[in-house]
Amino acid sequence: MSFCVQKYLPNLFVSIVLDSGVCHVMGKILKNNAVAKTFKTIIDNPQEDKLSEELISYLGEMANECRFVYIALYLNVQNQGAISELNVENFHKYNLLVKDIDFLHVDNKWTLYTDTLEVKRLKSMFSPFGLDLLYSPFVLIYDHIKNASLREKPTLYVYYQENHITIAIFDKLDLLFSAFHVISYEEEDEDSGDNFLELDELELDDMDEDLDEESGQDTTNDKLDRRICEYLTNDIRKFYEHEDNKEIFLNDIVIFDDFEFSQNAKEIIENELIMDVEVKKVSTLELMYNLAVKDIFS
Amino acid sequence: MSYSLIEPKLKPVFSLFTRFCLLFIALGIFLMISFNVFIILSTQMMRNDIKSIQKESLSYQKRLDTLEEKTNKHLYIGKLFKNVENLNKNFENDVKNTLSQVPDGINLTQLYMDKYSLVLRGIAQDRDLYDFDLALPLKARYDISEVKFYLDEDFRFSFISTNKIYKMEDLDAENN
Repeated sequence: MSFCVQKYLPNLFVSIVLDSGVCHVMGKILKNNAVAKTFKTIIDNPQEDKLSEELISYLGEMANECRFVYIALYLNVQNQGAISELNVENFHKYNLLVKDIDFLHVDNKWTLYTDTLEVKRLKSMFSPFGLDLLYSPFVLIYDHIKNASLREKPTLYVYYQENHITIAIFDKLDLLFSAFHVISYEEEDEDSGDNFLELDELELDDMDEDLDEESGQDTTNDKLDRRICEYLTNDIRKFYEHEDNKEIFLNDIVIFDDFEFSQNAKEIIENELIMDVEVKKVSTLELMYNLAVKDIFS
Repeated sequence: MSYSLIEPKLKPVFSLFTRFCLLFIALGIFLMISFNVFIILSTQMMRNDIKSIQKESLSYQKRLDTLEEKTNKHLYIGKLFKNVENLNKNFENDVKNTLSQVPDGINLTQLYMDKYSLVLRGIAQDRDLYDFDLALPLKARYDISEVKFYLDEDFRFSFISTNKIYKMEDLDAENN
């Protein structure tokens, strides 16, 4: 880390996760490499494109605590992804228009992207305070495996949150596959009669039908667990559809759990996919805070 | 290497307004210091000028003193010269007067004269001639007038007339 005066003065790092009507906020006042104060709360934010008055007032109070305030937001929009390509000229192969996306070459190993309009929308939402940092779940997975659990074999990583599931396959630090799914409760599933609906455009395979047949008896949580398994199955199938990946053997799944990943879900995945599953508890807010400190002071 | 899709930027220590204020304060301080330095330098230059002027003034004063001294000397010499000239004129007049008062029949052989005294040596045909024609004017001019007659080797009637004027110091001493 280079020298800067700000490091020795109080800096407030606010991590925010906006998720289906609620906002998870964590603020930490960092002074001279030590955390002086921590705030943490959950505030209602019913409107998707606008911060609620309560949230604005809370952030305002937090901002008054410090001269330097950095706001980091978790990117949980559907229009995002990660590709192994670094050459911008080849982005069209992934149906990406360079002028329409904001992208980032992560450690010059792979590329992270999202819709430019989404970034503008989020910046506009946070215009009273200014949005300083925007972190994708792919980056959180990457940072975690880079610093904590680098595996020798290609591994499937899942970043699990209440309404989102991010899937990435890394061979050491090289990205092989990525997918981001939003889980919504807005519409009722026609087949099952429960509240689940997958919004992404994946087609369900035969396993969906089996799951739907049993839906009448399963509890809501059980349905969710099965749905997670469906996502994994579909994404693994997609992964193996590529010629380059045919010879890669996936045996390990690491699940970074920032919600309540059930033991039942773990057992379902292990039984259905016949893979070793490891569940690690993580905090998105904490991960974002650590990244924000590194990014700002490096 | 940043992992954020928005480029992270370190917040500036000072806001734009504060930076402007600091800039103005710094500018103000700079101007004050510059003005102070200007004043100090000007004062220093003025002091140097004053010193050089003082030195010049002293040298002029010395030259003036020397010139004054010379002038005084010259004036004194002039005055002295005038006095001497006057004295000489007076003396000349006195000598002329004295000699003009010497009647026929009296031959002066020696004359000594100063400011306060007159000594005459000579030969007179007779004493009366001296008493009537020379003694009287001498007595009129001098406070003491004495004469001594004697016969010289050739049996002529010689005389020594000693005449004096009282000096002021002598008078004071006499009064005391």
